[in-house]
Amino acid sequence: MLMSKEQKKFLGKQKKERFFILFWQMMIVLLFFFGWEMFANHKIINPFIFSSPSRIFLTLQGLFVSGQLFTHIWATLCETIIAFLLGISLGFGIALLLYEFPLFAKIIEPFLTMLNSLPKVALGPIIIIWTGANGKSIIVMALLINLIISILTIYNGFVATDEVKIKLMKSLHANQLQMLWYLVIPSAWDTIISSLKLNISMTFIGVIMGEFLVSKKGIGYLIIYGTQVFNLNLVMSGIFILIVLSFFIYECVSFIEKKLSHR
Amino acid sequence: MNNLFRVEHLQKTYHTKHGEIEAIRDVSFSIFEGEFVSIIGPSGCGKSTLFSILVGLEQASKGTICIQDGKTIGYMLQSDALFPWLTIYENAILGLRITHQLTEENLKYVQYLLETYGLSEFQQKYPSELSGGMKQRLALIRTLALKPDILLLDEPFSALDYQSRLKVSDDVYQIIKKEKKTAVMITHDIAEAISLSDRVLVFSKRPCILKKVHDISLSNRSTPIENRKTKEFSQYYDTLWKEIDAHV
Ligand SMILES: Nc1ncnc2c1ncn2[C@@H]1O[C@H](COP(=O)(O)OP(=O)(O)OP(=O)(O)O)[C@@H](O)[C@H]1O
Ligand SMILES: [Mg+2]
Repeated sequence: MLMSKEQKKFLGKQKKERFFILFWQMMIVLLFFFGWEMFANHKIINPFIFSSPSRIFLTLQGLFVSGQLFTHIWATLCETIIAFLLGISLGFGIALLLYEFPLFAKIIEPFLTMLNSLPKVALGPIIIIWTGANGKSIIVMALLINLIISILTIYNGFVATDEVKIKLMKSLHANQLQMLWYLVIPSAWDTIISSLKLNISMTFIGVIMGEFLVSKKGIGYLIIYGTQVFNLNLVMSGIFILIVLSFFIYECVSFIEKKLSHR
Repeated sequence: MNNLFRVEHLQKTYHTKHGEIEAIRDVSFSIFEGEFVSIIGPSGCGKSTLFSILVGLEQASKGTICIQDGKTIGYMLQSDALFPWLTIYENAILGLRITHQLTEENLKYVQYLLETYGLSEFQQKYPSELSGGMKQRLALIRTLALKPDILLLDEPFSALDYQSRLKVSDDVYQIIKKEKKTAVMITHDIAEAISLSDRVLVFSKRPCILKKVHDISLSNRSTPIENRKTKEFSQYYDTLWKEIDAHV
């Protein structure tokens, strides 16, 4: 492709800027770990409670060698995926019901708002009693956090359907199913897709919280266990895994979002 | 002439939580085959309401509508209402799809319409890539695809600037004449009403009654743009303008 001098210059400048940003991002990470390591080694901060990058590395290595690392990551990942899929499909289904039965929607609206503003962690102990201290209660915990917000987001997407287009469909004598399939769902599609990101962050919070409360495996368990035995290296390692994992999950959902969104 | 449909003593009152709105008080008129009729009247007087009742979106409070047996109505809404997530082609066949009429013959007809009216090369594109006039034409094709006998057009050109409005109204007029349709059009534009129609119905402000009917007879009638140059045009314009002015 032919390119003008100015365009080349512009692109070159953009490339330089990107490089500059990336460079400083790396520098910040390096400086952070390096400083942390130095401070810990020279006892400026107490390595027993602040841990240090090298100690975290050794802990991770230990976990890896004993095979525990992947057991825990796998547990958290599975719970997250299950709760995420459940939350999205239930959220979609319930939002559809609310849209189809506006009277029903009006009746339960204040209850949904109430539930939405309730700090769901408060329900944790009850959930454990009701469902038992097992994997189920973690899923329930995560659902509690991601479901209401999914319902509300998707439902608002449905309600925002253009009145004129509804009129058009009605003038074509479209039935209820056609109305949903050809108009309401496609027009809310972008809202539905963008609710995925919100949903995954909420699910992750729910899962970790659930693991704090009940679990015998998972990253949340690793962190809570580390605190109980006062092994801060383990706690920091857990947090480190969490950061990497949540970044990874978020990127996955972003990718799915790009694939699924219109054009 | 053949009476296609007749509206008799139509009355419509909306009930809302803020009270009753008497939109249409008493309207009666007939539409004959092959006619192009315009409806003008002040904003909010109930013109769109009349169309909604005709296609069954709203229930009349009183009065009757008789449509000749087997005749169908196509409704072109006040805005083009194209679906941005569908291609031009998919938009054009939406009506056929909803009414389960995706026969080979009908699809061929859509293809013919798209080709004849300059949209065939855009078939796989999306509405956001069309100009205002093209969108309007596409909305018309979507309506024509169902082969209605009567077309109801609700301010079909209101979204366009003056230049394209003249052009597109010319286009649409040609299309309607070529496909031999009967058309009823709502407009705010007196000049547009005169230049396109055989008859103009003047509605009063709300509650709406049919104020007056004008038969438009122009010497050497041709395209709408040409019609504007005839000597009768300005006379009709003055009459209608005064009439509307007096009733606003
Ligand atoms: N669904 C509805 N519920 C209550 N009132 C309505 C409804 N639809 C229309 N109206 C009222 O009925 C009156 C007539 O509305 P309509 O849309 O038919 O006017 P119009 O003549 O088409 O106006 P415009 O030229 O601005 O399009 C208005 O006062 C409007 O507020
Ligand atoms: Mg209107």
